[in-house]
Amino acid sequence: MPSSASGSAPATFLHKVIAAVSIAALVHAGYSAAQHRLYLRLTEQPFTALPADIVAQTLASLIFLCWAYTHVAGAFQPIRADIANGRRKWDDVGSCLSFATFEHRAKALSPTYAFDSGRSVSILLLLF
Amino acid sequence: RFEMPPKRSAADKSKTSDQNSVPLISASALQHNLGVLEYARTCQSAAAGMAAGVLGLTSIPGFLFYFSVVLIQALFWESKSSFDWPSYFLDRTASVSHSLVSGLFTYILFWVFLYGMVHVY
Repeated sequence: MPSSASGSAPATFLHKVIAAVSIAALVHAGYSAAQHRLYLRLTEQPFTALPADIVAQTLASLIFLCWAYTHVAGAFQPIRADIANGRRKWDDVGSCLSFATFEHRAKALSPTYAFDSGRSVSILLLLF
Repeated sequence: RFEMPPKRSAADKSKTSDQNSVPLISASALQHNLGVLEYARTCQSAAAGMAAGVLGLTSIPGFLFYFSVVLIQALFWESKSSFDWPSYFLDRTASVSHSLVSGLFTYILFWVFLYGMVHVY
């Protein structure tokens, strides 16, 4: 499948940066929550709920992480092979450069092929 | 279920007019797309489990949180496919249901781990 036929936009460096920052923010929110629990334990206050900023940071980093990994995972490719191949031109499909032959003996069959008889005679003279 | 695309020749040219009646599916592209879904589902489950553990969710709210994140992930996948899901997948419900249960197990793993790290110890 050529790269031009890939359906959705590929992952960019920006997506990976957002994913890394989101993971760091999520871990930081967890560390903040643990410190909040430790603070409540030391001051002997009962735990009711987490502070709103920790909850907001957790949810926001989760959303950004899901969005970033959706794109880091790779691009979707169109699955309809008939449509994808139907748009390709013969110049793309039929070009097999690995099998191109530039010195084939069948060139002697071409009407424009100029047979050099003098060269053959000189080689014969060299051999014998 | 999956058909390989046939070789085209000049004699097949008459068939190209009714190509919409028999869709030819590229198996490699389909498997690539399912692998993309699998990768993102695993990451999404792990991240949602971490968030649920940090938030200190327990029992039913934790499971509801997983399924709401699944819906958000489905929205992201639909927008990634330019809201043209059938041209990338055969199963219309795959954006919600693909590896839903195995993602739930990954979610529970991270949920319990982070809950213990943050709220228990």
